[in-house]
Amino acid sequence: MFSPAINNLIHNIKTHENLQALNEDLSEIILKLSGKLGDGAEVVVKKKSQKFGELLVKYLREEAGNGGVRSSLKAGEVLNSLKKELEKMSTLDLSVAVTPSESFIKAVFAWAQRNLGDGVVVNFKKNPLIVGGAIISYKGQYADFSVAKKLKQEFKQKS
Amino acid sequence: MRLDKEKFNEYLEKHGEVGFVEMVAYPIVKVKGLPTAKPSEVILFESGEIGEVTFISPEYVNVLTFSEKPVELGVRASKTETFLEVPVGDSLLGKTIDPLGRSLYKSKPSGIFSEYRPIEILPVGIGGRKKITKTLETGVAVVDLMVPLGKGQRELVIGDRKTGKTNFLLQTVLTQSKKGTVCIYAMIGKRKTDILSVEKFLKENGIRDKTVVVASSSIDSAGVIHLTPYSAMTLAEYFKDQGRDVLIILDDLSTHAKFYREISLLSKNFPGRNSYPGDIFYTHARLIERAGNFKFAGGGSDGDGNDKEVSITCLPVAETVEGDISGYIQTNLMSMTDGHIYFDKDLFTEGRRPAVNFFLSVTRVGRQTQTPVRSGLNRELNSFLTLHNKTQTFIHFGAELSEGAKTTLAMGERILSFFNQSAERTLDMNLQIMLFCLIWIGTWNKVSVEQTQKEVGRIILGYEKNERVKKLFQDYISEAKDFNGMLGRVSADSGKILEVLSDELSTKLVTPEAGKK
Repeated sequence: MFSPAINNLIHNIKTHENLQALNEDLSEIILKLSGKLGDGAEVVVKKKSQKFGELLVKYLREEAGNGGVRSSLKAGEVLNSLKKELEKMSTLDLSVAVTPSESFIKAVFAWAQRNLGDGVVVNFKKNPLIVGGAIISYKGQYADFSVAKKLKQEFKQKS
Repeated sequence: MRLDKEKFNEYLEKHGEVGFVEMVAYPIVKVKGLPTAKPSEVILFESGEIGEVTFISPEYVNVLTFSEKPVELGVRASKTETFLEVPVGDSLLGKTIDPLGRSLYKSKPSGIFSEYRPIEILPVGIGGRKKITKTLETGVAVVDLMVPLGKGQRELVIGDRKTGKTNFLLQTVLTQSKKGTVCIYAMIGKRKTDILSVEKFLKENGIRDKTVVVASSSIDSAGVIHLTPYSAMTLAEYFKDQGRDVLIILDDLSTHAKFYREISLLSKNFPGRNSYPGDIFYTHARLIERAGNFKFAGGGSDGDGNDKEVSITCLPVAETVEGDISGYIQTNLMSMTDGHIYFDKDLFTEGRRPAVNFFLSVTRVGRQTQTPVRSGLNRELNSFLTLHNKTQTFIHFGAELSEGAKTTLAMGERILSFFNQSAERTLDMNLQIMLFCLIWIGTWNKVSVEQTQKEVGRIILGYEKNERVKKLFQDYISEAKDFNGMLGRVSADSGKILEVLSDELSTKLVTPEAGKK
């Protein structure tokens, strides 16, 4: 679905939150690069995106061979097409009762990649009312595996 | 529709699908997700609002919402696997409801209903229909005599604003309600004051409990306004299925088309002529097609051994601008109805009430319902008024008038003054025929037009209260084989008739002149 260069990049974008932040950084970088002549694109990228700067520079280099993309004009075009590609990414919504830990995020992301393929980010939502378990929705499909639901069913059966 | 906020999670779990509001162009909402949503399926939002699917793509669905306020971004949506339904029942008679069946006034709830019906259904096919054979009286002389209507007919009422269309419609409702027809008045995107004035008319004339007003006001969501005529038609079908004749008024479909255009443009559908969507004809045609004369689904037969029939007579309204009846929506509606009654602004300014231009009006099935007397009268009147019109055009040249032309003009003036009818009064068909015959034979030729009007007014007032006068008129009409026969008898007995009327009505009427026409 995605080029190897993009795949390398999005392996590091695990959550919906990260994807949104990357999109915001990309918009800012593209704006800064537009109409700018000459080299120095990598400097701009690193300066404008502290979180994803290194990743984006790596992406630009992979896209344009080992020489890298120094021209601002060309870099702007490459990043613009990257932004459009990122719009194709799908989101796995996951409501959980607690704030997810880093290892939990990694585990869920790895599971999502294995089962749903590349180009998936996980959107974690904290909802203490579900008590435990998770409510999952992906591409319009919905499933409630929460403890709250189980408890409700139990109480219903008992009464 | 019994859908509320509390049931959201239930639907979500039942159908296992969720959508998220991605874009709002009120009343249209773009929902991402809901992969198996169907066209026209009802969608329930987490915040309690409901909507109807209008467009489907693999990624998202467009939903037409019916809430007063826009749905917020990010709100979850669920499928319901149901289609839009409205409550129906006899308890709605006398009520004013919105297109979703809720009472327009919180103080007067519409009640609890056991039956709900879908707003959109497939119209009954040709096998379930019957030829239109019964007359529909409007109580307005110019229409009943010149542009007769039949029960089950779809007749467009067209004209500029403020030309008396609503008055005519209310007169028709009054006449039909008194005859036992259930009347449904759909007010589409009207002002609150207009809704109140219709309710006031119905109340003052004692027919409120025989009518249902389905109203949406101009401040309602375009989605709700769009539903109004469909909802009213569903209600009409309920009463039809109970074996009752129904009169439905759709006031007005040109406004409806404008709101549909708004919805369509917001949905980013490709605009066509005058920016209306390509399916605007279908939008109205599938609605109008639901009216007609039908075989009664409950079976049974009439007195002659034929299948029992029930009708939905539909009077859709279209507004014109500066008398332009060749507009897109107007011509669409003309082509899908069985004729039209044209209210002419020029005639209105001339003082004609109702300002019906019978030369530009058409009735395609009404004439087949007429008795031989009415049919003959209609023919005679039509040819005379055409002659009168030509003579009027002729005098514009300043030519010296022959005696014949003078007689034509004088008679024409009397007939047109007879057609002038106040908005509060409706005339019984027998009364219309008898009064016309009396004028036609020259009963009041020796007196002024104003005096004639007064005489006619006295007879009308007396007729309404006197059963013997009603019987007298009924006898003359039922015994006549055709119009000429009737005219001959009335002409021979005119003196006697007026004497009887003078006695019965306790008023001195002007006696007929000796000479006959």
